[in-house]
Order: sequence, then structure tokens, then C-alpha cells
Amino acid sequence: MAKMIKLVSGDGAEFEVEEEVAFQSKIIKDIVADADDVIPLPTVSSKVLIQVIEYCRKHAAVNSFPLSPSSSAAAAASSSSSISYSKPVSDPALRAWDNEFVKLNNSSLFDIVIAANYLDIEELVDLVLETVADRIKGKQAQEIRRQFNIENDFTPEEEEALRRENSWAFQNN
Amino acid sequence: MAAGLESLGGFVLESILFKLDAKHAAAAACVSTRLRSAASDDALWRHFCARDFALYDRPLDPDGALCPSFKGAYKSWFGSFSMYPLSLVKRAKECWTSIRCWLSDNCPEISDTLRKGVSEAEIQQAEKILGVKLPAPTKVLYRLCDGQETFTTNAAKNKYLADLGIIGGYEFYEHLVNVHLLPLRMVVSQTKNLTKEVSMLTMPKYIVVAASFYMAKFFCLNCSSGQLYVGTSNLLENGEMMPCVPGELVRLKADANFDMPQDALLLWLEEHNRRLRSSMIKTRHPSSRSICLFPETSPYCSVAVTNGVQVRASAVFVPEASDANGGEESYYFSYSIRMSLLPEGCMLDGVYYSSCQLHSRHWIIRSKDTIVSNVHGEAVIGQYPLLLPGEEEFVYQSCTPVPGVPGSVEGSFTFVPGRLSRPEGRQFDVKVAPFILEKPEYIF
Repeated sequence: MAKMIKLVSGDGAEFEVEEEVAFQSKIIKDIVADADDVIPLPTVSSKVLIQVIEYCRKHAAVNSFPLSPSSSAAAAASSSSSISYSKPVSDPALRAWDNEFVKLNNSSLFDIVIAANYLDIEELVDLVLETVADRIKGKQAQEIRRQFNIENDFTPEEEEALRRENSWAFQNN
Repeated sequence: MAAGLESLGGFVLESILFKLDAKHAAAAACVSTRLRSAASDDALWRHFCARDFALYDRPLDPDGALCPSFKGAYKSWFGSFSMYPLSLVKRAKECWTSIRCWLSDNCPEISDTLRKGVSEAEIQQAEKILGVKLPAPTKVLYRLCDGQETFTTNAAKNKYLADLGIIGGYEFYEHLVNVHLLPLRMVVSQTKNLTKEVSMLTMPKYIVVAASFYMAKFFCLNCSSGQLYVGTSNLLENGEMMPCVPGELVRLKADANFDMPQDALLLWLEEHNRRLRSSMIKTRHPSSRSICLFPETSPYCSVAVTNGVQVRASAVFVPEASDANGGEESYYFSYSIRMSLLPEGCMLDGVYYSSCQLHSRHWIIRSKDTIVSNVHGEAVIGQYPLLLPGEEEFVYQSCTPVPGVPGSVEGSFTFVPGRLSRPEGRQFDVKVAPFILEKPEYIF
């Protein structure tokens, strides 16, 4: 019978998860080591915690029971502990799952990365950072503003000066 | 409460920016005050400088001048090199930096001969004169370093500088070689000279990039294929050359599997750098001015100790004396023997002797497992070295051609304890462990 850990979100919802799922978070792993099985997470809402648990469940399953030769090679290549943080994720099926997982609006992504950073789930933090970075790449300033709902707080003169100052980066091969 | 991009903690926003290319960060700087501040953080540009140009520690521009910030340094490098894939620029820079550092530490005289890189305009000029398009990796290498300043108008000075090739060389009997990397102006002049003499090379695609000036030894880059060749003994007669780098590694175009081109000059310099750093080759001894190409490490260099006498032996392939149709002389090798007496001295039949002297030699040379030579003779290069305990090695070179490779050389020396004029005991044989003669994958 798998050992269960209880996580309590900021808004009071309780979630029981298997130990190996919860241990995707380094912070939780350390806390439980001090013999505490109920972990309050006041800064994480239940909505975000559900998503984080979903990620951890998927990644715990893959790390413990490699389903494909490529993922088992990745697991073998990394440390001998059952929780591996091999980067980058080499299993194409898992990568595909991750890509689906991050098909969320920016606001949700930011909430997740803040929670994952707090819980020290390295792979999830990196996944979200990459996703957000991809949403910036290739866009001009105005498009970036639109994507992230950012207000333009420059005067026209400042904007023009900035465009000139940074134009060197757009001269290409 | 929902978070926005601008209200993300500094670390998170910074981490996102770290993942961008410089041009994306520049675009982000134009978005809002908050993003401008985050994207102008010099720590970000320090990261870009390291990631894209292998520029660490100090914000230097391509000429080595200090910039006021890493952003300024990045801008300078980008402006200078953005016509090339940045990954190629970084790789070529790392190669040169590594070589320069090794030279600085081990042969500062040689590192002083390295010239500053040429400009893009100078490269285009050279291409125009020669009627060739240089491969991108070679262009980048020359943008970063224009070969060596070892060719002056003063003959006496040239003689002095001739030992300072960055590739190095070897010497046996009258055959003396030391390979230099040519500056672009000499690439042009030597290419013109060589293609005039050798009609085989007049198809406008070979350029001479490296050469030795004692004994003529020329390295030519094929600009169409990207492979590097070295002239054999038939070079001037019929343009005969041998490839210097494994052909399967040479690619001039990026493709689905590999994102950057790598021509033979880049691969050749990288391999040379690896050999210097692994001490496979080095200067003969700390005070020596030139780089010696006889391997010093196993498995290429054999070692054997007999009765306190240590013999190290290794060979180097001599392409400029080799001959594709040479029959017996097809593959020419030079070998270097280093002998010394261990500090304990010479132990023979339970007695200790404080010196020993060589009387004769015996060599067995094999070519593809067939013995092609089995000789006995007195002395080595006409000398009878006297070995004293713990002294510097006695070193000499000789040579042998073989009809086919791989081959091997092994043998023994006959020594007497004491000295030949006053032997103190019986003669004994000192083993020379076998060392290999093979056509190397990389020819220098």
C-alpha cells in the first residue's frame, strides 16, 4: 500500500497523494523527512495545486516505471535514485504530454510557475519558463504587449529612442 | 490573485529572459518600463556573452578592448559576426582561445606570433583575387586570428622565426619540418605560386593555409569540399595530396542532424588543440622553442625499462616523403628514440653500475605483419650514448619507409655497464618495446 501524503491548499481544500507523486517537490520531500504527513501550502490555491499534482503524478509514473526504451535510457543515464531530474525530457511521449499540459493562458502559467518555484519542482519550473519564453520569441514589442496584456508606459519619444537603441539586434545574416 | 508577466518575481522574469536570444531580449526591452529594466540588466547580457560568444569574466570586444558593459561587448561581437551562425563563431573562438592559452603557458614566443583577425572586407578581397569562396568555418577562424607573423623580408629573422609554427614539426637527418599557419596575405601569394606550378590545382578551389619552409610541406584546403590535404613527395609533379581529416566529419552545410558546418581546417585545429592539452604532443623540453610532433603518450609512444635503462619510442607519419605509388617507399615514417638511465642506475646480475654505454642496435620493422627489415648495426646515428643516472634523456631520430600500413618497429640496444672504453661487466640487451607505424586519421 503506497504511503499517502496530505496536501492542504491555501483555500482549505485537502488532497491525498501518493508519496512518490508528492516527492516530485523537493520541499515536500524535505518536510516529510521530518516526519510530517500533513503539509499546509497557504500560498497555493486549490486550482493551481490540482494542476501541479497532475504534473507530478504523470512525471512520478514515468520516472518510476519507464514505459519505453528511450525513457528507461534516460532514467538509467541519470542518478540511481527513483526520482530523476534528467534534463531535457527525452521521452517523446512525455514531451508531448508536457506540451499539452502547458496549453494554458499566461495567467495560469504564471500561477503554476510561482507554485512550482515555491515547491522546488525543477522540471515544472523549467517547462513553464520555456513555454513563456517561446511566447515572447519572434514577436515585436507591440505583439508582446498584446500577448501579455502589458501597458505601454513609454512616451512616443522614449519608444522611438528605444527602437533605435535596440535596432542593432535585428540586423541579421 | 492572477499574476502578470511584469509582476513575476525578479528571479522568474530573469530566468525567462535568460532563455531568449539577444534579439528577443532587445524586443522585450521596448515593451514597458519594467521589461526594459529587466532586459537591460547586465547580468542578462553577461549570460548572453557567455552563451553565444564564450566570453566570460570581462566584457571584451573582438579586438580585446574592454567595453563598459557586457551589453556593449555583446553588441560589438554581434555587429562584427552576425553574418555567421553564432554557434560557429563560438566554437571557432573557443578553439582559438584554447590554443592561445596553451601557447601562452608553454611557448609564449609562439603565441606572440599570432596575428589579430582580419576584417570581413579583407576576406572578400582575398576571395576576389583567388576566385574562390572560402568555407564559413575557415572565414570565421581567420576573422578571429590571421595566422602567424613569422614571414618577414629579413632572411636572418625568418630563420629565427622558422621554429615557431603553431602546428610544430619534426627533424631527422637533413629533413626538417615546422608547420606554420599562414596569414591571409600569404594564403593568397602561396596559393597563386602553387597553382602556377602545379596545373592539377588550378581549378580555383584549393588554397594553401599552412606550410613549412625548411622542407616544403604544404597544406591545402579544398574550398568546394571543405577537406584539408597535405602534399606528398609528388605534389609538385602531379599535385598528389592526402586528406588530413576523417572525411566523414567534414560538412560544409548544416543539415537536419547538425546545425553548423565544420570544415577540415576547424576540425584539424580542434584536434591539434586536443593533442596539446592531453600532452600527446608538446615542446621537447621546457626550454625548447618549438612544438614536437612525436607522440609522448601511450599507446603511440612505447616504454620499456631493462636493467634500469628506459627507452621511449614513437613514430610520426611523414606525408611529404610518402608516395602513393612508391612501392617500398609508400609510407614514410620518422621515429624518435629517447633513452635514459633511471636514478637508481644500471642493475645487472645483482650489481649496481653508475653508468652504461650503447654499443649497437637491432631493429625489426614490420609492414602488415611481414618483416620488411631486420638490421643490426653499431651505434645510433653514429653515436654511442653514455647514460648517467637521472640525467636528461638522450634523444635521436631516424626514419623508415614501409610498403604498407599498419606496421611496427621493435628492437633492442646492446649496452655495456661502465663505458665502452672501460666495460665493467658483460654486455646486455635493452628492449625497445614495439611502437606502431600507421597512417593517422589526422595528419599534421
